[in-house]
Formats: sequence, C-alpha cells, structure tokens
Amino acid sequence: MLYLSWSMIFRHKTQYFGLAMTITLGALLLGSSLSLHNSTQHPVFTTEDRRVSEIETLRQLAESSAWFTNLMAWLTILITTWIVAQTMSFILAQRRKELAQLLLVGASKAQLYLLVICESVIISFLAACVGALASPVLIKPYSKLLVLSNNGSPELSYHPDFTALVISVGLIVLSTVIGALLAIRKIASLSLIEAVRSPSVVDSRKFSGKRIFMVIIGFLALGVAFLPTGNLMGYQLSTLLTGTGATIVIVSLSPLLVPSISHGIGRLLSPIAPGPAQVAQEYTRLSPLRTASLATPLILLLCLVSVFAMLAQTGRSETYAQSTQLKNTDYFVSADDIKFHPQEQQDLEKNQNIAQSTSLVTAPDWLTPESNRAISIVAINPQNIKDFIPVSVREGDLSAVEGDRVASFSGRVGDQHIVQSPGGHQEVIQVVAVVDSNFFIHGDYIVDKSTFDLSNNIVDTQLLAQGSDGVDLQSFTATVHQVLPDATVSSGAEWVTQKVNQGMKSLMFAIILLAGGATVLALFNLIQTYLTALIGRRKDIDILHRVGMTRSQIMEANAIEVLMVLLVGSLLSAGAIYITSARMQVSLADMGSVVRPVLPVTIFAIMAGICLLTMLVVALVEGYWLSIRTTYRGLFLNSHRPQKGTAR
Amino acid sequence: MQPLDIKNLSFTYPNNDKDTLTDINLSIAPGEWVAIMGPSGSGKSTILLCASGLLPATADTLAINGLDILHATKKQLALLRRRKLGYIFQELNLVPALTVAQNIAISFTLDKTKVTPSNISQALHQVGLENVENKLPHELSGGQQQRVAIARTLISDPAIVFADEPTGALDTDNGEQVLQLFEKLTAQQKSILMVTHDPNVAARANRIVWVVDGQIISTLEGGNPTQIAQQLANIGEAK
Repeated sequence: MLYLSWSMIFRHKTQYFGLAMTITLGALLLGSSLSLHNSTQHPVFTTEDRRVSEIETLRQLAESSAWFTNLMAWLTILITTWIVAQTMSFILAQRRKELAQLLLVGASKAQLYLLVICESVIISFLAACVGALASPVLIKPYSKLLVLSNNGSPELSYHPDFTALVISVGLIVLSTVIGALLAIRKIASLSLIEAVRSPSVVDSRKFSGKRIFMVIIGFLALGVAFLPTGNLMGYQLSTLLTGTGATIVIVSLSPLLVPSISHGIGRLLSPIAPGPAQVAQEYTRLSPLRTASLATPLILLLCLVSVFAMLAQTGRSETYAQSTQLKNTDYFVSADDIKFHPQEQQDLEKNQNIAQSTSLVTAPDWLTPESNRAISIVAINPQNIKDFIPVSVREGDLSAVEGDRVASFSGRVGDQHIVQSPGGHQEVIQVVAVVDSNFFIHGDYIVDKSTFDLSNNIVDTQLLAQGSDGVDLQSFTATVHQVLPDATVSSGAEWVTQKVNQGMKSLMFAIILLAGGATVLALFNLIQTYLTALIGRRKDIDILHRVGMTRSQIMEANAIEVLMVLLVGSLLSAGAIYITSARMQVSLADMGSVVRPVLPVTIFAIMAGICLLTMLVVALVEGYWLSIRTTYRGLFLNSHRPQKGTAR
Repeated sequence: MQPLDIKNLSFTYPNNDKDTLTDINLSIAPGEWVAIMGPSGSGKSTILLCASGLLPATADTLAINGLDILHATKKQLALLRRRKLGYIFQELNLVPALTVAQNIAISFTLDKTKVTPSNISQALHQVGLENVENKLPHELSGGQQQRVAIARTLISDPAIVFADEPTGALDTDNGEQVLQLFEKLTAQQKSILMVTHDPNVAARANRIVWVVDGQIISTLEGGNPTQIAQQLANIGEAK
C-alpha cells in the first residue's frame, strides 16, 4: 500500500506539491512557535543587579511570549488542518474516477481510505521534516517580532529546541491526517458506476441533511452569542461566536445565491466578451457548491481579518473610555521605581528569595496640615494585570471616587487604612474600587510596600498614591526623585495617551502578526484551491480550445470567473461581518457613545483587492499555461503523446 | 458453478418513472461468450452494468460465480471484483496514475500478494505488447490501452469478463486483435458477457441476446454477420 501511495503521490505531484508547500509552511511556523514556547517556559536571566520590577517585567514578558507562541502554535495547527482538509477535498474530488477504477478492480473502500491516509502521512512527514528543519532560521526574526510587539524581550533567550521540532513534525502529520480524514467523506459516497460513467449532476440548491445540520449549528452559535454577556462571555467571545455562526450559516446557504450572482455578472459582461462570459457563467451557475467552495477561503480570510480589526478598534475605544474614567489623577509614576532595599538584596543573596520593602514619599502639599478626611482609594491588583487595557474595574464603582482625593493601594472595597506622614499627620483612606492594571497611578502620596517571594513566584506590591491637586508636575517630579531617582513621572493626560498608544502599538503588532499569518496561509490556500480546480478542468479547456476558443478567451473566461467568485466571497463575508458588527454594537451599548465598533471597510477592501490580484494572476497564468499544455498532451482524445512532426 | 445467473432482474434509473430493465433472465455457462445487442437506448449497457454489480438492481437471483451479489457483504464484493471479475470497457479502465505494470498487478497488490515481472511481461506478450511495463496509460494508444486491460484480465484469472463495446474505439486491426484475445479467454473457460452494436463482433460470440425496451426478446446462436445485421435492422424497423 505504501508503494502504491508513493506512486500516486508521484503521479499527482502537481496537486500534491501545493499541499506539501502548505504543510512545510505550517511545520516551519509550528516548529519555531513551539521552540520559542519551550525556551520561554523556563526563562533564563540573571536577577543580579536587577530591580525587582525588571525581574517581574522579564517574567511577564516570558509569560507573554509563551502565551503568544502557544496561540500561534494552535492557530497554525487549526489552519493547517483546515487547509489540508480543503485541498484534499479538491484533490479527491478530481480523483473520483481514478478511485472508482480502483474500486472496480477490487479495492475495498477501507483500502481507498488507507491509500489516502498513507498518501497524507508520506507527504506530511516529508514536508513537515523540511519545515521543522528550516524552522531554526525563522526563530531569530520571529523573536524580534515578539520583542517589537511587546511580547518578548531581547534579554530573554530564544533558541531552537530539538524536542519541539520533533513534536511539531508529529503534530503536523497528525493535523494532516485529521485534514485527510475530514476530506475522505468525499469518497465515502463513491460508487462503482463512476468508473465508467460521469456521476449525475446533483442539484446543489436542494437542501441536503448535511447542509441543514450546518445551518442549525450556525444558528446555535448565533443563539449562544446573543445570550447576555457577563463574566463567562465577554464581548470578544460573543463577537467571535457571532462571526463563526454567521459565516457557517452564510457559507451553507451560499449555493442558493451563487446562480443569481453569476447570472448578473454574466449578463453584465456578455456585451464585452460574450463567449468567455457565458463559459464563466455556466461554470459558476451549474456548480454553485464548487463556486462556494472556491470562495470559502476568501470568506474566511475576509471575516477573520475584519473581526481582528474590529476587536482592535473596539479595544482602542474601550481603552480610551476606561482610561478617561480615572478622573482627577494628576500624575503617574511608572512601576520602575521599586528598588531592592539593602535587606532585600541580602535576603536574595542568601537565596531565601524573600524580600520586603517599605517607603513613603510625599508630594509638597502633603506637608500642608489638613483636617482628617477620607481619601478615595482605587486598589490595584498587580497579580492580575492586563496587557493592553490599562484599567478595568473588578469591584466597586469608579463613580464613587471623590474629586481630587484619589489614590491607589491594594486591598478590597471597604478596607480602611491609616496613613501617617513624615510630620506625623494621619489620614484615613478607604478603598472604593478595585481595578486590574499594570500601571501605577500616583498623585500626592506614594506608599511603596513590596513583598517578594521569588521561590514561590509571588510578588505582592502595595502602592499608594493620591491625586496631587494644585501641584505642578515639576515640583512633584522633584519630590519623587528625592527617593526614587529613576522614576518616570508624567501628567495624567500624557500618561493616558502614552500608555494607550503603547498598548495599541503592542496590540496592533500582535494583530498584524496574527492577521499576517492568517493572510499568508489563506492566500496560499486560495491559490492552491483555485489552481487545483483549474488543473482539474484541463479536459474542458482542451474541448473549448478545439471548438475554436482562443487562448486569450480562455484567460478572459478564467478572469470573469474570478470576478464572480470574488463577488460571491465579498458579498457573503460582508453579510457575516455586518451581523458580527451588529452583535458587537449590542454588547457595547452600555459603554455609551464612547466605544463603537468600527466596520473595517478599508481593511476589507485591501484584503479583497489582494485576493482579487492573487486569483487573477493564477487565473491568467494557469489559463495561458493550460491552453498550451492540454493541447500538447491531447487529453481530450486521451491519446498518446504526439510524436515530433505529427500534425495535430 | 455458473459464472453468471440472473433471474427476474429489474432496474429503474433515479428520477425516471419507467423501468429501464424488466424481468431480465440470463445465465452464462463457463467458457461461454454472450453478446448483447439491440437498438440504441434499449438497455444493453444497463444490463451489463447491473449484471456486473456496477448499478444496484433488484432481482430474484443475481449471482456471479455462485455469490449472491444482492446479499453479499462489501468485503465479499470487493474480493469478487478483485479475483473473479474482469472489466473491459470502451472507457478504458486503467488507473491513469499507475504504470502499465502497476495496472496489471493491481489486484495482486490489493491482495497483498506478489506477481513477478516475468508474469507481467508474459501477460503483455500474450496481448502483443512488449516493453511497455513502465509507461503510463496516456502514453499508449487506445488499442494498446485496451490490450493492457485485457492483459490485466488474463493475469487475474477471472471467471467472467464484462465487456462494453470493447472494440468501439479501435481500428479494424486492433479490434481484431482484441477479439482474438477474447477467443483465447473462452478457450481458457473464462466466460464473456459483451455489449456491442457491431454485427461482425457479435458474430464471434456463442450466443446473441436481443434486447428491446429493457426486455430480452430473443436469443440467437451461431449467427453470421449478415443474419445479425438483418435482425438488428428488423428490430429497428419494428420499433
């Protein structure tokens, strides 16, 4: 069976070459992702002469690298499986007759399945080995991208990992086999008669059980997505669910729409190019399922990139909205101000890994005696930081924050603390809200109390500050620098802008990486699918050629078909994106006018344009090449290769 | 054991109100060559496809080499096709991705048994082909491909061969070679059920079954091409 599989791969090398390239690309990405993931699992960096905040930052960056590479690995596996399933479906659909002939000469269906599985194992193993072996080359630029996207640090060690490479080969082979198993359903319905007769055309406008099932699944996803959002399901999850559900429903119903679209374009273009327009129209109209399948990678790509873009834009709006809720916070001091105390350093050197520090810094107006009054406290949970959203409310209500008396501390809502100034003045402070943030909000007072237990990976930082009303930034900075020379102090407005931009930069890099990866793979899939479909049409092209169609007319027909497929894909994805956007609008209604989902029209148009160009190039090049090759091989007559000098 | 035994076979194509075949009864003895003839659209090829198990028909009995194919398991049917049936169609049923040698040895490969290269060469020699083992089907002419299909049948030693217009796409010389090979097969006690519209080809068979409107109306044994052509013309006029 292995020998037979190898022969089959060799004979179908044109189709399998594209599949092998996809698998190699997948293994390259997976091998490098897993290598980076492994090297960030136990990050190696020295703690000597480092501030605790630096150590913590490096640890967080290592975690962020691990999270990102893990996500990339999963995405690669899922996308590879999908592309393999899609491509194998096309390849098997074209090999139906050949497989039916094997059935005719005595192969059982199980043997056919085994043949396909063997083919996928051989091709995936070879391609995955090439990809995995090449993946160390990708590690350096990949780690640079991680650093650029604030998901890594040049001080962390990123290196190839042999175990990760072996695992990546295994995972890619497994995902290819799963993809092949998903595609095998194409030959489950194979009948013997197909060996001698063409299968009867199935009216794909009729609702098959499978399509009804898919529509139900799509509506279920939409139903779940429209449940009230809460702790279990944020708007991000509900958006993704809506996008997925809408895409499934629309793709399942697409064969109903394809004939109308192809008819419309066909009529529109028939005065310019009657023959090619008719050929393209018939191809798309008579096989709406095939047209929809061709448009599927396009739909998924457009939906995926648009949803990413929507989430990014909305994340930005949300960030601004939440940041502006922290009214009356005058100054921000970055967390770099935490230093080892001598005692801490000694403890760490003794390898006890436990240290504690306490310091109190006051701004000038703190020195002015005031009557006792409660200070509103926003508690910070440094254990639970978020990466790009500066602040999100965990407990309490930020509207309870009183005027300019805002400070940050750690604790729970209702906790009271007494803070004493160097001059002996005391203030009672009360926690009114708890927020998650990785940024340290400061004002008049800075209380710094940190406990470090590095052996148990615990860092408990208690920070307190209060709004510095009426004190200029320069004075405040000078006071802070008396005890924290390296601290960065900025005004509230500057800080919000700076952090939001920094967060957005990081987010945009991550999104560009994700969307870029998805785009490369999806475009590859688009080329592969379309190319396989065109190659399968050699005989038809030969017939058209023989009945008088010129090469340029064949290319025109291909180009018109591309337009039809693009229009089908764009219209259907626009529908799915609109539904998704509407869902996001409902989710974010409570955020008022500040946060609005932005329909990514520009990104959508750019991506559609890239897809159009890619498909046009494939259509024209392959149309030109096939019209030469098919005539040369004389596939229409299924005859032998013409000898030199033989008239054709 | 009869290579083929059909009793009361009927068949209707999907989305077709009228029966394509009605009450077909046909038995073939070992070494017998039976030709099916009739006007276009009479159901000749459909009988062949149903009898060979390619189309799902209903019948009281439909047995090939003693196996009731209506109630056989999928595995039994696969083994039957692999070991006891030969198919030679106008469509040239060679797997395009496999070489001539691989095509000839395919039933052995599927059976996980081996066939020696000399056996393959011998089978090819019997059908008048030399040094084509490593060629792909598309590198051969139609007649050569047809002969490779016959070589595959010869090497797998089937009980019955189903042939649909086996000489339809061939020139006179190639067609004659194929018919001579069929005679060799019957000499080896292999039966043949063949569909043809050519009286000269049908005249080589032991028995001719006449089909009109999906029913067998008569049989003719030992007819010459002129008689057969006359009968075919009569049936056409009567219709």
